[in-house]
Amino acid sequence: MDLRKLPLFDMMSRRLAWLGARQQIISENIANADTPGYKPRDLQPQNFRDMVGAPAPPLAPVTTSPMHLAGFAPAAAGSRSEREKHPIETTLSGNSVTMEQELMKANETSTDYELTTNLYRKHLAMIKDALGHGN
Amino acid sequence: MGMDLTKAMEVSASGMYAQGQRVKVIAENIANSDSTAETAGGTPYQRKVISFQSMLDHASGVEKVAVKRITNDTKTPFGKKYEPGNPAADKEGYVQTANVNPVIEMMDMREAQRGYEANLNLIAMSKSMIQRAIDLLR
Repeated sequence: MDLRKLPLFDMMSRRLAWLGARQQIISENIANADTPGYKPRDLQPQNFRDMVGAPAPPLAPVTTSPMHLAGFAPAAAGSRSEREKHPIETTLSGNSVTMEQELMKANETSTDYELTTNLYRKHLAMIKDALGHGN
Repeated sequence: MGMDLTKAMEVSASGMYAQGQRVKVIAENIANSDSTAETAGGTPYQRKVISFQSMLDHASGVEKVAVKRITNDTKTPFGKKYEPGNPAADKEGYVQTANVNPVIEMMDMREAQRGYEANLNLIAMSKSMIQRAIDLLR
């Protein structure tokens, strides 16, 4: 049984992928908190319409000739990163990473991740219940 | 899904390494804050400054942080004190002292420490996220 065929599970795994990608970008921001001229980035928030609608297949480069190199597939579907639009402050060196803001975001991501994994577990337990050997 | 989090940990580790290098430079400055010239009338220890740059890691496609360069601080002037008995004193009896200001170094060190801790916290956070994903197997 492929759980990803159930829309709810598919949605949750896409959510987890998005949260993982966001955590990576927040890590980049914090690691570069003292890099001159660095501008923080963030992922575009997930869209409800995209979540419930049919997932658009990620555009991946195709090799049409044996001379072509295999390209990278994009990270997570619908996760485009963009520069932070309203940085709180920019230092003299041109860096606009605000540590507090980034840590808030990291915490938010971590909590959402926990929520999603717990939801996943609960739904799995429900299916197990239906099968007759739930926990 | 777990790949992004592993990459996140790699980025944080590069941040910790860079901040560690910064602490090393600060330690050099503080250790040498009393180093005078070896010859009479020569220039003493010149404080070093470190600068970072973001670097795209082509293997994983993430933006890590790296040490750009460590340069001598030529902007801050040397100190001067009257000490004719010092072997480094010039003809008038003045000794040039290193341009290290302990207060500035301490401030810089605090900042490095804060950056290091933030990266460390993020590694712990990414790790617990991976752990939670693994716990789904149970």
